[in-house]
Amino acid sequence: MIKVLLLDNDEMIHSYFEKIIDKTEIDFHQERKSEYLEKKYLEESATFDLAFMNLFLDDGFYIVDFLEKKNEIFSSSKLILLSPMADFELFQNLLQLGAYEILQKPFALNSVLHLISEYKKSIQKGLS
Amino acid sequence: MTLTEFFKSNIKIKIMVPLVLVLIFSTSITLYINYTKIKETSLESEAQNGTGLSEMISTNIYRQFDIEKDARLLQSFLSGIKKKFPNMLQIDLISVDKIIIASTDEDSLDSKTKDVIISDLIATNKAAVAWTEEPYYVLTTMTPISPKKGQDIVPLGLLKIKFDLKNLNVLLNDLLFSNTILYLLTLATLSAFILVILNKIIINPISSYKKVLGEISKGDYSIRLDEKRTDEIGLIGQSIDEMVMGLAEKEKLKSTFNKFVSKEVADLMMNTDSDRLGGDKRIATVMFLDIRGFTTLSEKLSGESVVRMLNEIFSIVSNEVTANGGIIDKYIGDAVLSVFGIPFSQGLKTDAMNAVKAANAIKLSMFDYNKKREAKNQPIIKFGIGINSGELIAGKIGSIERMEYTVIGDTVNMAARIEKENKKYYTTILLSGDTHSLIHKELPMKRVDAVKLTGREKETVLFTPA
Repeated sequence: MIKVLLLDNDEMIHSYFEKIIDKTEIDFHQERKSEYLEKKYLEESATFDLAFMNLFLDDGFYIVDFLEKKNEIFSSSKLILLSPMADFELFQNLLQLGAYEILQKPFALNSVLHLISEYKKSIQKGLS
Repeated sequence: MTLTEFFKSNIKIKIMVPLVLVLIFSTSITLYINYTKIKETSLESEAQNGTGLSEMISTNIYRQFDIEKDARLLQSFLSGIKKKFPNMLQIDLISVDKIIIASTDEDSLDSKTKDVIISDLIATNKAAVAWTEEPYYVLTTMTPISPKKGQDIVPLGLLKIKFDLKNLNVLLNDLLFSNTILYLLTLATLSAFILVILNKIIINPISSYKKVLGEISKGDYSIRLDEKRTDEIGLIGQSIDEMVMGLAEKEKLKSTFNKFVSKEVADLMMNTDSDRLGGDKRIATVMFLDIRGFTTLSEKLSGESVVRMLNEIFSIVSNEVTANGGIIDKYIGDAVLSVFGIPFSQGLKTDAMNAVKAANAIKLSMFDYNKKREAKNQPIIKFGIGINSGELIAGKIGSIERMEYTVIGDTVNMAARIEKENKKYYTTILLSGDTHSLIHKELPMKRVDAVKLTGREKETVLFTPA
């Protein structure tokens, strides 16, 4: 079972994810504050296979700061960034800093399922 | 049935259960009132008869007997009376000292009566009084024995008669039973009648509307209710028909629209505020395909052949673009502009990869297509593809009368300029450094050159799939 995190303070995004994610197949965690990353996962050394994160959070979280220390916290996680804005230069930098994929809002929910499915396929390929 | 089950039940139960409850309640009330009224009237009538008889016997006793001396005669007289009137249970003659001096029940003789009313009756010398006792409906009358009634005369004694009202009780019970049966039959008939009427005017139409709406939700817009009724239910049916006709028209328009634009764009155009012009800034990957030497080629072919050939090529392009998650934005003469990531992105990198995959697939399909043309001695088709990623404006552009969902911006223009460079480098697919920066880890690329394209100060690095 793959472990997926959603970190966003947009409730609409949370409700969309809840609708499409099959919790019998995915260990799905939802968070709205960045302190979750800082405390729980650093302390417990927990990690995710896929982490969907918004570029900004209301509590001052900014993805660029996070990506700089990503390897300490989410060394093996693939980060999919959810962006409410379109800035190509920023996106290029984010990809260079280690983001796996960037989804511009609004995005089709199928894109989320597609990314999860692609990740599952890549694991199966790796295993075989 | 619990309250929750009731609220979840169908409309027939929701209407019938309260209705039957109301009918049962009102019937029970009516039955109770009628029964009580009949009972009161019957008891009143029995009391009148009893007191009348009691008065008559009392007058006879006063006239014919000396109460103090003729106790034995009175005893015999009272027995005779009781025999004449089988509904009399007991007759007592009570002295002013409350002693029973003659009685049809010999065991009671010479005992002192406990009736509290006696003192009052003796003191006031009132006319006969009667009362009943539950539950056997025993009517008791008590009559002073005196020449006339009134306070100024002290009565010689009191005559107490108990009448048996069992027959009346049986009669009332029979009446109650037959009335209950009658009311239940009326209730059942009334409920059945109301159910039939409700079925005809409300429930059946709603059921058929539900069935039709189910078919509509499955996409069958040919179905009609053809409701002729003019009441509220009929108007709902007519509105459903109008709605279905509107949906059918919209679907037809959408179906026609899909032939000219992609399904995603058709959906977006149909489902958003159609009069709102303008667009959104998005990041997407643009693929520009152009047929080389088309002018020369078209001069050698008939108009019909040119159109057929273009349609065949555009079908190949359209199929591969759609299969890889892109949309055909527009056909510009012999060129095709397609976009990946509009109206909805599958991810910045995924969109760029999809564009390159689509370009490779077009290249392969066109190779097969050209082989078929060669076999027919037809000239082969050469083409070039330019791919670029970046910011663009996507939205409904045009006038209120005629608008289209399209993409505009430097990213789009750059894709067209990159396509033109294919001729110079003898390549079929070229992509910009911006697209390369997104997918170089996933797809192998070969650097072609760095060129200065029109409108750009900096050089643009070009890549081609390896």
